Amino acid sequence: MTTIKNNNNKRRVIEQSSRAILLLCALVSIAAVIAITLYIINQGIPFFSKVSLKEFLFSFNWEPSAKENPSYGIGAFILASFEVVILAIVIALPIGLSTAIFLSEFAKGKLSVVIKNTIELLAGIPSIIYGLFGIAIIVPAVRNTFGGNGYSLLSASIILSIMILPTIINISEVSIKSVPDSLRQASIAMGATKWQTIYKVVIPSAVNGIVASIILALGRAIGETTAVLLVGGNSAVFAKTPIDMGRTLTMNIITDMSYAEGTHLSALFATAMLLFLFILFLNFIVVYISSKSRLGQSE
Amino acid sequence: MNRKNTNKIALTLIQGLSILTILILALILSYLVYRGLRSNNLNERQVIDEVNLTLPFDVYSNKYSKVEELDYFTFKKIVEGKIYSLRRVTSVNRDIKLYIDPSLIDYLSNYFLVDESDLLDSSITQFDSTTIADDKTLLNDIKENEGAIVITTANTKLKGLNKVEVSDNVLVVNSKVTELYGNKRIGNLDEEEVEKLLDGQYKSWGELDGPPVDVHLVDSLDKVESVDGAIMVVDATSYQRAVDSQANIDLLKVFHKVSKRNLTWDYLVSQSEDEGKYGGISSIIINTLIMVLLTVLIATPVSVAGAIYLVEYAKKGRVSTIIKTGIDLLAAVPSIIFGLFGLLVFVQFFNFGFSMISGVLTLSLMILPTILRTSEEAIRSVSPALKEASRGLGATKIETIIKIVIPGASRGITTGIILAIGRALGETAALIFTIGSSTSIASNLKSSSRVLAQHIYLIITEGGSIDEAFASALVLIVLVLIINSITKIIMRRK
Repeated sequence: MTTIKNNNNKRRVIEQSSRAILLLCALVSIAAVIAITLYIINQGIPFFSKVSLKEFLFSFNWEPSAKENPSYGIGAFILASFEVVILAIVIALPIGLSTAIFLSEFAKGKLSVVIKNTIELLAGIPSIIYGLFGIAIIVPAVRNTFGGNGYSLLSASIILSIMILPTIINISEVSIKSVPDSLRQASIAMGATKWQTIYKVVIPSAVNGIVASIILALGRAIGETTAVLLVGGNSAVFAKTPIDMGRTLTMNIITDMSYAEGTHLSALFATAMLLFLFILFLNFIVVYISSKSRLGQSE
Repeated sequence: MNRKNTNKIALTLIQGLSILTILILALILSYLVYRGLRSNNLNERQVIDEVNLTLPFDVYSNKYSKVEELDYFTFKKIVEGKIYSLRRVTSVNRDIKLYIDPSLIDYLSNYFLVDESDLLDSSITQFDSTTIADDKTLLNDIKENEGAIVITTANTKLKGLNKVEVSDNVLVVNSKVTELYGNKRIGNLDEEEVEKLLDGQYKSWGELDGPPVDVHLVDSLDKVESVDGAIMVVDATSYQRAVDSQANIDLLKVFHKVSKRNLTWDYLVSQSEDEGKYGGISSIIINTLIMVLLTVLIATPVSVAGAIYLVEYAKKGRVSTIIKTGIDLLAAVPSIIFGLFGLLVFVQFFNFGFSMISGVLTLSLMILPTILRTSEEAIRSVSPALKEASRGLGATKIETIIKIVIPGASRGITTGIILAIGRALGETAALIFTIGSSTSIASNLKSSSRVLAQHIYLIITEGGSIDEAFASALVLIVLVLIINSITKIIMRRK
């Protein structure tokens, strides 16, 4: 009798402790996110006791290693980051959306299998390889077409647009697929062509998912470092046109990190802080949109 | 009618743009394979592409040295001892060791315009060309000495060595031709231009960005010196003699197209030397595999446990929302931020330094959401009937999980792990500030080590050879493709 009881006790202890361990493991992600946030803020905040937020965000003057009056304005990098990702979206969206529509509305047979595999592979190619490809193909192409030396924000956008295609396609495809067939059949029955159905019925119903895919792609693009660093030119001066060399937020962090110290170093962490804020913001928009569309569906 | 046309155009456009994605991928992959396997370079050379076959000597080199051709001027410097390492010849990090047949010394000193005593230097090994083929010890010595360059009498056959071709014809012009004219100066010529020039198809040097002087093909060095715009092809020895006596002549440099194999077996299996500048990538590939293995070993238990908690224990509510938000946010953090975090926490706070363990821990956090999400889905799809049957037989929840749930979800978990491996393999930004850059194989967790993707990054940013970057990139993409196909195969077996 006692042995069974003991055994049962032992089992209960194991049960309880394993439950605790599992919970601990499940909390690692959120703990990591909190730790990352705190560490980056902790390193970045002291910077603002030396330089005002206004100067940091809006000054276009980045001369952190100057002996006298160093300046820490990242305005040019913020603008460059946005320029690059918006251009990338503009280039990627027509291709991405078309592919998503093709996969969900038409695709049957071999072609769709090939396209699906293509997207998986595109998503799997490491960013350093995109960067290398950019140096060898995109940079000379931009140089020959638009002039300049080819290392430019435009080159960075083109590389990014390829890199974010899978994100746009996968998420848009899911939301286009989830548009109920009855809507399509109703539209066709009313005499609309396939294109009119897609354009007037399917896309408007799937618009939340499409927007979510764009925002996630934005998040991926704005955080991308290696590929843009290799083709973007990395000049700390404000890029007046997309074919000028420019520097994005991520490029700024990675370039100076290896030697920066003191205020310069904390300026880099402040840059990282800003980047992290952008990404959090974009993610909350996605969460908001998807919760809204879920509500919409249940109604 | 109009409506139908719009329809047709729109649908064609959609299909066209979809196919474009395939073309983009095909372009990237085929270009990588092409550049990975072959390198095409335009090298500036002082001699024209014509091999001198009438020389009374043959030159051989050790296969490892990759020396297959030498131009007169490089060869002269080697003989003079001014170039003592192959780094300046073929980017191979080996010192040059010369072997010369003494019967050639008279000819060579006249040919290279060097003192005979230089060729009798003690660092140069002497041998007899007539007996070398039977001299096993000498041949072995040459084969073991990776920087060996052997000069034998003509028609000596040596097996197992590279035959080196020597080019010694130069384009000599009157020095008027190479003068700065306005803001222009004649540049390097390519093969086609040299051919046309010697064929008399250019009337004036102006056509080649030179001064407006007529082209004159002449047949003696005296005329080259006296006639404006004169040009002739001459052997390098005569040119060198004329230059040494202050003649008023110049040499036109030419572009030499070099097309050769890029990624070789040697490159894959040999050790890296001098911080990755020379040698191969075997140690870097091994480091990459160690890194991926350790990362997976650390991240898998944590993520699978997290997934089990989410599916089996967490009730819908606050805890589950917090956990899920954490995973979503962690997945959205850009890799550069992971890199900074790794630098602050693992490198500095825990004082692991730039080491394998810092890199591995940083990457483990990064791939955690990938494994967790895939495992979660797999665990959710384990049939509830099985679980209930197990509980009904008296098993506790954790026993059920270990004996029923995990085996049932193992395929999905494996898929997640492999996806994560793919991501870890290609990561650069998170590793630059954490894992270090030493090219030797990581001997312990705290040793600095370089992985493949980071190696490519460092080659490019430190101004190394782009060919080497492509060779390494090909290896990386092949690894990624293999990982990708394994995922496919596992998922298809369902």
